[in-house]
Amino acid sequence: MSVLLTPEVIILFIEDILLFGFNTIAFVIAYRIYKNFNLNSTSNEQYTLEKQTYLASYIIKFSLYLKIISFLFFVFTLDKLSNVIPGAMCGVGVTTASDYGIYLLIFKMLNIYLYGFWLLINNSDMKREDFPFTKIKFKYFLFIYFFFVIELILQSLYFFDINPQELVSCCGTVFNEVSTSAVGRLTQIPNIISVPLFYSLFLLLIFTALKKTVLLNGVLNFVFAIISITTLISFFGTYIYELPTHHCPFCILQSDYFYVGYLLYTLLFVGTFFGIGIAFLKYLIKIPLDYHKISIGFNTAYVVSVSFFPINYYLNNGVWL
Amino acid sequence: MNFRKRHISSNVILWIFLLVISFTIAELFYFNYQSDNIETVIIQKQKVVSIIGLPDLALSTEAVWLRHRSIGNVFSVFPDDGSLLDYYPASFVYTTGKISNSPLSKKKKEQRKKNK
Amino acid sequence: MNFKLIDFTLKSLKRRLTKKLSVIFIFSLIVFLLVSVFSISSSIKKELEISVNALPEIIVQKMSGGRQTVIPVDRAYEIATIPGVQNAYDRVWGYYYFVNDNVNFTVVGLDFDLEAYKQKYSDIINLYAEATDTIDAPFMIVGSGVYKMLEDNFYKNFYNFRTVTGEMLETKIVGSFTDVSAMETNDVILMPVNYVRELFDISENYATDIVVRIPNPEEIEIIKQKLNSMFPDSRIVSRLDIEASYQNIFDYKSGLFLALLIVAFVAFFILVYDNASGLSIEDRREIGILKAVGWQVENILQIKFIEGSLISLFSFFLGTGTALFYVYILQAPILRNLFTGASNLKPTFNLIPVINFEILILIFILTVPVYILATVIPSWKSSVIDADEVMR
Repeated sequence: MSVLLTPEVIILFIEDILLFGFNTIAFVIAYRIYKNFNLNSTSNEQYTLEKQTYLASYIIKFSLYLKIISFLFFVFTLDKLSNVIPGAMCGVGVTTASDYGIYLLIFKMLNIYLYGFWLLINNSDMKREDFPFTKIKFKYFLFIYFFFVIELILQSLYFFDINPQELVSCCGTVFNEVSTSAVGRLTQIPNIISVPLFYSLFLLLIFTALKKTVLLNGVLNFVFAIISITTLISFFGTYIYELPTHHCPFCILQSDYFYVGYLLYTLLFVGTFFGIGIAFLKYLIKIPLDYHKISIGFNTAYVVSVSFFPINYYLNNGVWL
Repeated sequence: MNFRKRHISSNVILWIFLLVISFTIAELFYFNYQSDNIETVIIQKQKVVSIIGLPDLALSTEAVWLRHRSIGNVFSVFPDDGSLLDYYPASFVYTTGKISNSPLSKKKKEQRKKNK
Repeated sequence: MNFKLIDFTLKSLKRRLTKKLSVIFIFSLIVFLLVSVFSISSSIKKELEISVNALPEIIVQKMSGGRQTVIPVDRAYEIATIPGVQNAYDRVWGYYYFVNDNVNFTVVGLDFDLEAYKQKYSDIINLYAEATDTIDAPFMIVGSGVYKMLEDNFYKNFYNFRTVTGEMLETKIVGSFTDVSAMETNDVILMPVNYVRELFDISENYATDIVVRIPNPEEIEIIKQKLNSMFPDSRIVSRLDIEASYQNIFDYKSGLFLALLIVAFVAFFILVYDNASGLSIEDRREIGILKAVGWQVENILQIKFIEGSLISLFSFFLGTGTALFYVYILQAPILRNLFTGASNLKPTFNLIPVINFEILILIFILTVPVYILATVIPSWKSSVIDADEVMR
C-alpha cells in the first residue's frame, strides 16, 4: 500500500496545490509588473498594475505564513510516517526512504528563507512613498516561484517514490561514526574541534553585529547555522538523549523529549534568518536594515538553551558523556 | 469611560467567541482526563477477550468474513485475509433486505398473485 | 497586530453577522463531521488496541486448498514442547447462522471445568443460574445482543440449536456478558466444548485451530518461523499480524474518507469565495469612507485578514466543541451506524473517550488556511475600490 493515502500526505498535497494556484496568479502579476511597471506613467494599465501589486504581496505574504505552518506539519508527517515504514524510527529513516527526501527537505527550508527575505524587502518598500523596490521585489519573486515549483515537483516525486514495503535505515546507521554518507561524514568532525568552533563563531557573530560589518555577519550566520546543526547532531543531541551513541536531528522532535526540537530549530531559524537577511538585502537592494538585535537575541537564546543540556547533565551526574 | 462604552458593542461577539473557545478547550481536557481513567473497563474487556480469544469487534455480523476477518481464510470469494484492504463504504451501504428478496421468493410471490 | 484593529473588525463583523452566518454554519458543519467521524473511528481503534493485547500470541490454522479446515489435536502437544512456549491448546469455535434474523453468531467452545476460568467470571458475566458445573445438560453464556435477539424471537432462557445432523440441541441460557464488553461479545455464544463439537460435528481428535501462548514477546517471531517449518500446511497468525492489519485498515479508511471529502472542500471553497466577493452597497460605502479618511489598501487587507481568521477560528472551535459533545456525551446517535454493519445485531456499546490531538491539528490545518485563502482575492477586490467611485 502506498503512503499516498495517509491523511497527512493528502492534506500536504491539498495545501500545496492551493498555494501553487495562488502563487501562479502572483507569478503572472509579478511578470507583468516586471515588464511594464513605471511609476511615472499615468496610463490606465499602470493604475491596474498598482492595484495588483497589493494582491500579489498579499498572496506572497500569506504563502510565507502557510509555508511555515506546512513545513512544521511536513516534519510532523515524517515523524508519523516512521510508524508505517519498516526500519524507520524517526524522520531520518523516512527522509532516506527515497533519494529525493533530503533535497526536498533542503528546498523546503530554503524556500522559507527566500519567502522571508521577500517579506523584508516588501516591508521596507511599503515604508517609502515612492515604492522604490517594487520592480526588484517582483523580479526576485519570479526567481522564488521557480524554487517553489521545484519543491512541489520534488514533493510529488518523493511521496510517489516511497515504498512502504522496503526496508530503510534508522538514524542509528545514517549518523553512525563509521558510516560513509555525506551527512554522516560532516558530523564526524571531532567534538574537540566543532564545539569550540561553535562557541567562537557565536562570539564572532556578536562582535560583527556590534561593529555592523553586515556582509561578514551574514556569511558567519550561514556558517553558524550549519555548524549548529552538526554540533547538535554530534554533541548537544547526545546530552538531550542522554545517550552517547544517539546522533539524530529528528528524534528531538518526538514526544519522548517533550518536542524540544521544535523550540531549538525555531530559535536557530529566526536568529540566522535575520542575520543572513540583513546581508542579503544590503546586497540586493542596498538598504541597511537594523535587525541585528533580533538576530543576536535569538542566536543567544539558541546557544543558551542548547548549552543547558550538557551543563544540566554534568551538574546531575558529575561526568561528561 | 466614554472609551469603554463605545467598545461594548464588539464585546458581545468577543464574549461569545471566548465562550465557545473555552467550552471546547474544557471539553478537550475533560475527555482527555477521562480517557486516562478507564483502567477498570480495560481490565474487564481484556478478561473477556482472553476467554474468547478471538480478535475484531462485533460491529458487523451479517457475514462471517466481517467478524474475525483478521483470522479468516486466505483465499475465498471475498478476501478475508488479515491484510485485506477496506471494503466498508461499499459493504455498509449495500445490504440485503431483512426478508430475503431472492429470485426464488419473487417467483413464489408472483405465483401467489396468479393464484388469487 | 493592533488591538484597535481587532476591535474594529469585531464591530464591523457584528453589523454584517447575518450575512456571515451561513458561512459559519457550513464551516462548523464540515469541522463537526470531520471531528466526529475521526473521533468515533479513533475510539473504535482504541477498543481494538485494548483487545489486541489480550489475544493469544499465535494462532495456528490448518489450510487445505486455500481454505481453513480442522486441525489434528495432537499438534498441540507437539507445539507445547517447543522451548519458549508456555502452553498450547486446541480450540473449537465457529459461526452459527441464525436464520430468523439473517445474522451469524460466533459460537465459542470452552472447557468450563478448568479452574482458571472460574475465577474470571464474576465481574464480566451476569449469571442467571448456578449451573456452570453441570455437564449433563447443554448450557450457554451469551452476549447481550444475542440475548436480546433470542428474546425477541420468543426464546426465553433457552434456544434450540440445529446441529449439522439436523437434530435439535436444547440449550439453557445461564448467563450473559455485561454491557461493558458489548463491543467484543455482542454476537458471542459461550458453550461447553463437547456441545460445540456436537453442534459443528467435529470429532474429539480435531479442533478449529490451536492457540499458542508465549510469555516472552521477543520469541514470538522465531517461534512463528519454527511453526511454519514444522507444519507447512498451516497458516500462522501472530498478534503482530493482526495489529498490522488494523493499522492498515484504519489508515486506508480515513485516507479514503478524506479523499471523498475533497469534493466537499471544493464546494466549500466556492461558497466562501462567493460569499466574500458579494459586496453589498453598505460594504462598499464603508470601505469608501475608510479610504477617504486616509486608510491604506494594506490596512483594509489587514482587517479582512483578521476577519477571516476570527470567523475560521470561531467556526473551527464551534465545530470541534459540538462534535466532541455529540460523540462522547450523546454517543453519536446517527453517525455511529456508519461504523456498525448493516446487520440486525448491533452492539449497544459506549464509545471510549479518546482525544486525538494529532487529528485535531490535521483538521485545523485542512480547514482554517483553506478558508483564509478563499477570501484572499475577494478581499483584495474590495480593498482596491476607489473612494470617489463609491461616494459619488
